[in-house]
Amino acid sequence: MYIARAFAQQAQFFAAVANAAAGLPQPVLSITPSLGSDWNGESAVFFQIVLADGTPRGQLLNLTRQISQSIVHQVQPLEEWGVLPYFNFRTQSEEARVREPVWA
Amino acid sequence: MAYADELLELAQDIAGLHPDQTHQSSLRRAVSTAYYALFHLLISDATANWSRPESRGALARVFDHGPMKQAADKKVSELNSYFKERPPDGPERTVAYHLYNLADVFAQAQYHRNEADYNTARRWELTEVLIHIDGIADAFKSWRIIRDEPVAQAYLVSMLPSKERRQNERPNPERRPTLTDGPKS
Repeated sequence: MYIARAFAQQAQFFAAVANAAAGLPQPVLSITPSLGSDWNGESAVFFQIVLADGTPRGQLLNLTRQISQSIVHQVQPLEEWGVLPYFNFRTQSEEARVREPVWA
Repeated sequence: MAYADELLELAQDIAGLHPDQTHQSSLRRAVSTAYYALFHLLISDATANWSRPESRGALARVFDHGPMKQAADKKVSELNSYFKERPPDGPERTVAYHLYNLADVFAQAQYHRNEADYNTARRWELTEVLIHIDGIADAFKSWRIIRDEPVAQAYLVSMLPSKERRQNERPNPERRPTLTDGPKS
């Protein structure tokens, strides 16, 4: 059975991500990687990235693309660690809202 | 207006239906519809190569999400290796950039479409949805720049299901254990 290197050496993988995250531009507040499987059953890493509020809408696409490409370029999730990378971005206030308990 | 363009426009409209609240069903439908816009854009261009228009609809049904995702992942990986070699500026690099953009956006969009359609535990927010839709709109632009290039046409063919890819998808054909199986010797 094949186990992706990112799963077998999680501490090293997360250290590589943290290292890449350190050089990212100012609006990036946090990057949370989690390992799992995608909808096709492939080993994957899911990056949840929180951006500071107030980034203009017109700049969001270029900014998020720079961030994801920088991580892919530095970490090489698929080539070096055997996991397909997926990215998701939220603003700080959206992230806070998602974490609020839902009572209804 | 072509069907794919209509779908993209619809995704943008749906995302904006409730700008002041996170209306989950609208945001989910917007993510899913945007993915299908790109899905149908690629399939319509692939089938347009078939000279008999009346057969294109049937041909379109040959395309499937799984093989198209595999083709996208493979192309992203190939182009990551290409860009790592720092190729010189020029038409080849420009085409590669746009093809990378298209394949990468497709792979991400399909994942998010599955999340939107099937993961009811996930809560969506407007910004992430707008980023997805803007990315897909940008992939439309990339595709229209390179659609007649030989590598773009080859990419369309690579989306077709193949016997080789089906074999790779097939799980390990071990016999399913039964209650009457004895202990392993």
